[in-house]
This record gives sequence, structure tokens and C-alpha cells, in this order.
Amino acid sequence: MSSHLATLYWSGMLVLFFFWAYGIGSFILDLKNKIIPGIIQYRRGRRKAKEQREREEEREEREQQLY
Amino acid sequence: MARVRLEHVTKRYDDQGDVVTAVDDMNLDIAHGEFICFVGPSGCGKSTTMETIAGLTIPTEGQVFIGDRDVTNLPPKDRGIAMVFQNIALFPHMDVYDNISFGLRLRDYPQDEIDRRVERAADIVQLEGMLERMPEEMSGGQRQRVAIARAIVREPDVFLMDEPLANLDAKLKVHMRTELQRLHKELDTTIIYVTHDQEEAMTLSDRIAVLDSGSLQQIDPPLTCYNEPDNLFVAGFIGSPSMNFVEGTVTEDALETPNFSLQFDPSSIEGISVGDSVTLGIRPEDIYPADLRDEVADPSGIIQARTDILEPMGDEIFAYLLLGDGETSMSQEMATNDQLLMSIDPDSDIEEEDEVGVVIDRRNVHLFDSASGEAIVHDLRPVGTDSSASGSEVETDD
Repeated sequence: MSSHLATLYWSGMLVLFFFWAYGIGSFILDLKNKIIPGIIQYRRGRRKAKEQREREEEREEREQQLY
Repeated sequence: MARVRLEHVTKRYDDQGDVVTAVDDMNLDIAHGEFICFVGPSGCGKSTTMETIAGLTIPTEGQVFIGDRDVTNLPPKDRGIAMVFQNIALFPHMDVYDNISFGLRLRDYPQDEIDRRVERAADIVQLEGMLERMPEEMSGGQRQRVAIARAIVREPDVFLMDEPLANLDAKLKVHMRTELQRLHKELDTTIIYVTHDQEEAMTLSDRIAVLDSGSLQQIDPPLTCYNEPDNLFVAGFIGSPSMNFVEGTVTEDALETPNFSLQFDPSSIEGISVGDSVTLGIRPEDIYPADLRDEVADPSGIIQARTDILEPMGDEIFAYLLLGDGETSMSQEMATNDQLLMSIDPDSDIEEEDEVGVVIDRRNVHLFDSASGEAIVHDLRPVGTDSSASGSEVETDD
């Protein structure tokens, strides 16, 4: 009876450990492949949009000097 | 004096690692009071050249002079110029008066001076009584006139106009063209005008600057560009419909093309010799039905052709003629060598699929070097021949 309980206990622990380890591994991969590149892309896009906006404002200001 | 000079102006852009040359070693000298048009296909560098003069773009190399001043690195406001843009760019929340006076208010002009200049500009562009209107209440042509008035009040040394009529309908465009000509006469100032519409350039300007791939191809009065184009590009670009081009080879007494030969004396024309490969250029209006041969100043012999398509335009008909075996094809070779476009009288009885004989006025035949594209001659008659010379024999190869 006690050997059955031990087997059940260790089997349960193994399943829980597998999903715990899988979760950590999956999160690390997501961080590397999705989350960090996403943040970099977002910040780059914001920077580009800001530069573009500044260029357009400068251009508009120069054009207005010709009105 | 608002003379404008460009000396070796080059503009290069960095396009994601690739260097793009928008303007390549441009040299221009525009006299005071001249109306000059920059014309060329999209991407030829005409707007970039104008922006360089305006100060919206700083050239990579070279210098820009307005009057005697080197303005290459000056901001637009210090150049003594005003510009009319293609998109009109009126402030929608300001009425006409405020739009016109915007530049003067920005420069802190006294109110009575502003009133005087706005009134005069409104009078010139015929906007009297509309000064309190909002832009949304005006037509496209009226809005464009407000933009022009906004430029006039500045009393600039040079007007720059970047395709100002591009967004107007055809009828309004023609009307505004005459308005611009009147304006130029009235103001007696230098106008630099950018357009891709060669008809606009021909009718408006004192000289046309034809640009291609950032390079100046020719700068001359409109009729010189039309009658004596410097190269194949100018010949093909100026004139609507475009000039016919046929490849040929010079022989001892004729020009041989795949479908006909045109007799002339190569020794009497400088710059060509027997065996040269040349491109023959003929404008549609210099090809005539054979029955009008006696009315042509220096007709060639008769060339046999078949009419393919007729395009009635009202005051004339464009007839597409097939030479040689007369088979229709869409290939480029076909378009250049086996087809001629002829302009004929609207009362002509020529119909599609007719066999017709045509003659070419040799006074207006252009020869270009096939390799370089440079013009060799614009008249096939021997030097010194008068216009009453008779035509020579032409044989068809069919």
C-alpha cells in the first residue's frame, strides 16, 4: 500500500516538475524571441516616428518661410 | 537684379546604404525677368533642383547664387524668394486676407503696408471682394490664386512655382496658364517653374530646361527644344505626340532603314560618314499623304504603308502607319522601326486598313547618333539648299 502511495507521490511530483520547468523554459524563449525584440522594435519605431515628425516640422517651418 | 545661378550643384541622398544622385553637376544661369521651366519625367530631379534654389534642400556639392549673393547655406527666408506649392497649402482656419498676409505678419510689417500689398496682390490675381472668404468656400482655381497672391505680397526677387497647376482640371489649367503669363508681364520678375507637363512648359516659358536622371539635357527657348533637340531624350520628351524614331544606317547616297531608304548626300552633312548607325527622328506633322507631295517644301519619295489605327482629335487625326510586312506587333522593335505616327487633316478620307503612300519633309528630318543619342543634324538637305529644292527618290523594300 505504502509503495503505491510513494509511486503516486513521485509520479505527481514528476508531472508538476515537468510543467514548472517547461513554463520557465518557454518564458525564457518568449523573452528572447518575442518580448525583448518587441520592446526594441517599439522603441525604434517611436524614435523613427519622432525623427520623421521633427523632419516634417522642420520642413514645414522652412516652407512657411517661403509663404 | 534677380539673376539665379547654379554652379556644379549636386545633390546625393543616402537611401538605406545606396547613394542616389538626384541632381548631378547642374550648371544654370537664369537671367533677371526670365520665365524658365524645369521639365522632365517623374524622378528627373526638377523638384530637387528647385528645392535647392528655395533653400529647402542643401546641395551636397556646388553653389547657388541669387543676384550676386551666395545663398547656398542661407535659410529660405533670407533668400528673397517666394514659392507656390503644388498642394496650395492654405491655412484652413484663416480667411483669404489672413492667408495672403501671413508672410508679412510673420515679418512684422506695419498694418498699413500689409493692407496696401494685400489689396494690390488681390487686384493682380482678381480676388477683389473675396478677402473675407474661407478657403473651403473657394474653388480650386481661386485657392491657387490665393497661394499666388500670398507669394506676390512678399515682392520677392524670384518666384518659384512647383507644379502649381497640377491639381486643377484641364479647362482651369489653360485659364491659369494665361493668368500666369499676364502675371509675369505685370511683375517683370524671375519665375522658375517646375512641371512634368511639356505643353505647359512650351506655352509659358522663355526657356525650357529639360532634365533627365538628375542631368540637364538641354536649356533653350521652347521652339529650339522642339525643332532642334540636342539628343534623343529631348526629341522624345518635347512634343505631343512624340517624335517617330527609326533605326538606320548611312550608305553612300541614302539612309537605309529596315523598311525604306531615304536618299540624301552624307558628304554634304558634317558629322556623319558612310556606315554610321543613326536614329532617324520625324515628327508626326512632317509626314504627309502622298497626294499632298506638291505642297511639301522638300518631299522625299513615296513610302508605302498601311493605316493601323486612326485617332480623331478634332482639329487633326493621328494615323498609326504600319511599314514593312504590316503585321501588328507590340514589341519595342516594332514600335520604333515598323510603325510611324502621322498627323493628318480631319477632312482626310483615309480610313483604317487603307494602303497609303506617304512622304516625309526632309527639311525637318532629325538624325541622332544611335550610340550616344546626340543630335547630328536637323535637316537632311545639303548645306545652303533653299526650301524650294525638290524631293529625291525613295524606294520601299516591300
